This record gives sequence, structure tokens and C-alpha cells, in this order.
Amino acid sequence: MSFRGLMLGLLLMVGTPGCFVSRNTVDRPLDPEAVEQIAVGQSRKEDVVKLLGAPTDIIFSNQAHDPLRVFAYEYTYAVTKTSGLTLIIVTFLNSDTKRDHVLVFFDEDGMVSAVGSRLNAEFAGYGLPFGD
Amino acid sequence: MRWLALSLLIFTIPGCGFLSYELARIEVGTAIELEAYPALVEGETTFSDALEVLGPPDEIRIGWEEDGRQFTQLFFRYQKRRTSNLKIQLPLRDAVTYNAGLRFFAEFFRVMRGDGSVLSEAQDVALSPSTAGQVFRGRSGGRTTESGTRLERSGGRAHRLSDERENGALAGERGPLAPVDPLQIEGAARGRDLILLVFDADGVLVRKSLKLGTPRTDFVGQMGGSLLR
Repeated sequence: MSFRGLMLGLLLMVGTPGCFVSRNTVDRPLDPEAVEQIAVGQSRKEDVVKLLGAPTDIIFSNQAHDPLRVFAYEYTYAVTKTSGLTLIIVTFLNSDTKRDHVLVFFDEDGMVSAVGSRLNAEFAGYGLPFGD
Repeated sequence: MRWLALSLLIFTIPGCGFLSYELARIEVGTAIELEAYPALVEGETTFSDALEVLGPPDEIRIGWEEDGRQFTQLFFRYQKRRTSNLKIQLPLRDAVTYNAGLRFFAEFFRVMRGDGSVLSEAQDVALSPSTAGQVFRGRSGGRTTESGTRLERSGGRAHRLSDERENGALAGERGPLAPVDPLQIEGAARGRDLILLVFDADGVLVRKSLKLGTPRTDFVGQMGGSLLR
């Protein structure tokens, strides 16, 4: 390695002492195959729980009933990827949060009436804070 | 020697925090699907259709009828949020410290080269412009010279400069190393791309709206856009 290359490498090491990446997750990933198995008009609340586990959140009606009217189950899994780069006096930070999100609606008989899903947690990425 | 000097300077600059530039972007959510927006037709599209096309909303609000068994209105909100922060900092106090650091290195290399003279007053002022009134003591070969208003030249190779304000007769005097307010410029841009859908009691779309407000983040544009606007 030439002297110039060595010095360039040394300067790069000296100039970039503050680089880091971090990954945070909330809850557990959702299984796409399990989501596929939820069928409108066929699956019941019990089936959904069997497939996806306990919901992250339950959307109720706003009145007290016996039993409560369960309107929807919500499942989420979030991933946040953060990266930072310090070049001597310039610092760049980027944080990207994406999530898997499934919302299952039930009718009054507890049958699935509608399902919506977006599984995007895997698309959270590291990067620089530029562009769209 | 030149490389060593450059390396030392590179160490010194961030250490003194002479000037810092920080650009941060925080993004939450996935890009909303603009292509699907025209397909949402008021009076036709149901909330089940919307779920199929756009997926689950990031936020859902429900208006219930009095007995709470049936909803009267359903609000779906799809959004991608972005916050961009830019911070430029020029801490003047550190700038003075930086000058002092430069001055130290200049003196260090001068001594290393064998030039045994203390910086001239003109040179010193050039490196640290606010030294007027500062009292230094130059010690050389056991001989000590002092001056209340200006630097003394003295011969010899060993030099030690000390600031009289630290513990000398002028301790506590305000001088170039006294605190100075830092200069800090901050710009922040927050925004979101948003689709809002409102459904009636039958679950049919009655109102839709679209707003594109995610700020673009770039090195120069952020400076111009956020700071000068």
C-alpha cells in the first residue's frame, strides 16, 4: 500500500469515528401465510387468534355491552432502523420506521367481515437523510 | 511533518466543536399509494374495498350510534410522516479555544523546528485576534520576563506560556477565553402525505381527501428551504 493510500485510510478512520447503525423492533413479525388464511365470511375470532395470536389492540364499540361488541382486531409489528455518520464536523442521521399491520373486522356474530394487511416492516432501511 | 500537522488539526476541529453541521431525517410509515387514489369513488367504494386496495389505515376513528352496536361514520387515515432537522452550530467560545489550539500547535511546531522565539505580537494577534490586554509570562532558560500589556520576546529553546488570568495577578479578568454566546442555526421541517377517507353507516365512501406534504430532505435544499423561508 502506498504512503498516500495509508494516509487516506488513516484520515478516513480518524474522520469517521462516529458511525453507527441500530435496529429496534416492537412486538413480533406477522406471518404472511397465516394472514392469507383469514377468510372473509368464514373465519371467526377464535380462528384469527389461533392464526395470529393475541391481537396488539382490540377496537370496541364505545358503549358498554354484555358482551362487549368487538369491532376489529389489530396486529402490528414495527421495525425502526437508524443510521448515523459523522464526517469530521458534519453529521448525518437517518431513522426509518416501517411496520407490518393487519386489521381484521368482525360482524356482530364474530365472523370476519373484512381484512386489510400491509406487511412492510422488512422494507425499513438504513441510509442517508437525502432525497425522497 | 505536514501530514502530522494535518492529522492533529483534524483531531482538533471536532474536539473543539468549532463548527458542526447536523442533518437528521426521521421517517415513519410507508409511502401512500397514489395510484390507488383515483380508484376510490365516493358513493361506490366500501370500506372493505379500501382495505383491499390500500391495506389497513394507519389510524382509524369510529363514530357509533347511541346503542354502540353500529357505527355511523368511519374515518380511515393513511399517512407517511417525515421530520427533517438541520442544525448548524458555531460556538464562539469554542472558536476562541480553537484559536488557542491553533496557536499552541503553531508554537509547538516553531519550537520543534528550532526557532526559539515566542510569537511576535502581530503573529499572535493574527492567530488569536482578541489577545489585547492579555498578560503572558515567557520563561526561558530560567529567566522570567513579564509584561502587563504585551508579549515579551525572549531567547532560548524552551518555552512555556501561561495565562496570568488563570492564577496570576489578573485571575478572574474577562478576556478572549471568557464565555461568548454561541451561534446556532436550526431548521426543522415536518410534514406528511395523507389520505383521509370517510365512510357512512353503510360503510360506503362519502368523502376522500389527499394531501402531499412530506418535506424533501437534501443537503443544500434543507439549508435554503428551512432556514431562509
